[in-house]
Amino acid sequence: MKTLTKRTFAVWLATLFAASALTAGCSSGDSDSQSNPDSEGSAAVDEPAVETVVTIGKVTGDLAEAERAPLKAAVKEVMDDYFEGAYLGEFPRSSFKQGYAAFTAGARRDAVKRDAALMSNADISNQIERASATQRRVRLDVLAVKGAARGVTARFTMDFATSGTLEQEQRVKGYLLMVPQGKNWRVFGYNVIKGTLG
Amino acid sequence: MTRTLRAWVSPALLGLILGVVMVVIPDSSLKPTDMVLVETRRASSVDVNPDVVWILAVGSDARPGEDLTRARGDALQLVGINSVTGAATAIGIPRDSYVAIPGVGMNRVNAALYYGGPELLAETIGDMVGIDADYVFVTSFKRFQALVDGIGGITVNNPRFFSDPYLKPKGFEEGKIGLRGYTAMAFARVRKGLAAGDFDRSANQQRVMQGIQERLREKSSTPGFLEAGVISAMENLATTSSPSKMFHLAHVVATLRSSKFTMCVVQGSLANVGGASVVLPYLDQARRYGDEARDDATIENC
Repeated sequence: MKTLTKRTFAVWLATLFAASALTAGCSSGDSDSQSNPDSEGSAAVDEPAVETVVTIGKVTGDLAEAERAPLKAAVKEVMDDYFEGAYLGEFPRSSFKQGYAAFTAGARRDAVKRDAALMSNADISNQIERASATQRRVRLDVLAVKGAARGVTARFTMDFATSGTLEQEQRVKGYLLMVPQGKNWRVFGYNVIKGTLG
Repeated sequence: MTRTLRAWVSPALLGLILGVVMVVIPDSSLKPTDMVLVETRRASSVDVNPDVVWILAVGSDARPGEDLTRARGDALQLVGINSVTGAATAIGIPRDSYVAIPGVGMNRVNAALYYGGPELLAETIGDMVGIDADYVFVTSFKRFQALVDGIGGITVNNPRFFSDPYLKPKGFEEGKIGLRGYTAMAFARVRKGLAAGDFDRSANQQRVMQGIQERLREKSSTPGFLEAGVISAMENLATTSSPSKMFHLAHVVATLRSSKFTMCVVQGSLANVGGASVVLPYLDQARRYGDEARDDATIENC
């Protein structure tokens, strides 16, 4: 049986937004910014937050069982900062640096300056009011030595839907490269693609 | 000049370092939806400090049971990688180059490994070229063979037929040829069948490096491939570099672009010193290579 796809769901949401706008007596499509917080559209935006699901992928070396949960939790924290600081939440906004708190200086520099359009939603910030995740999945390929993780390739897929002038579903996919620094993980590299879903 | 030799390691990771690996395309293992990504743009970055890292790659002639780092360096390549531009360059040093070895005196450059290990070899070549290696990687013939076999063999572009009565009696055909572990080792070692002897051999070593690079490019998108290389290096070698540092470095290499890989060999004149056949290297040329490549790992013309 064909299930309701996310695109279909997005179209349904958009229709709901339009219907609620018309019901409220608005006369143009740019009325979203004035919508009533109690409207059906707002309720839809406030759907339960999508949690980041982290799994262990390929482990090269010996990773102690007891290390797995703490590793997933630590990397989840980094990924959540990245997702939420760079792509999700309320817009428009001008700073996305919070998403790169765990990045090394060089990686942060590239993400903020050279790759801002892909490493954040800076490119559509002025066209949207909110970006809400519809999927946050991370798989960790781990280099482990003597029971402990020494390097991680965090492969991820994060989908989000935008509301505002631009209503679209987008996907950010790729990986972040991390090494431990004390109890924290530092991101020294990334390879990310970003595009619309259709 | 402050010397900043950071670490020395060898075989498995050597392959990673010598190879220029393509930027890994995110794999398709995460496809939980039935939607299609219809517009894509890509951003990639691997941070390393400094932007240009220099690695001295050494093929040691140590026999089984001998200390890799206290034998003689049979293959000497100074490799620079630029994490910002994706460029890489290799400067080949003829092993018979007759140079001043600090604290030892005049001798063949490859004797520096025997007298003072990787650090002295790096210092000696640093004096020749004017570049201090950040890392030294040492491998042996046997481990090199295992490395090439481990990645499924390589392909090189051989500019002319040559052979060796002991290592490869049937010779290597001109053109693109496939090499497995033993033949790759022989391709990099044969000297007598080559018109320009040690200089041509050094260039062949660079062709092998390029072949490894191209093979690694094919395999780099396999999850765990780079990690396995790091583990192998950690298990088989003495090294002062941490697994995390090696993991980091392997990924830096993985960002390089093969189209920006340039290779030169320091030339010189043949001479006889005390009955020994040596090469008197053109040190001004070596310095020029160093000056040109130091900051960006690029040499426009050899």
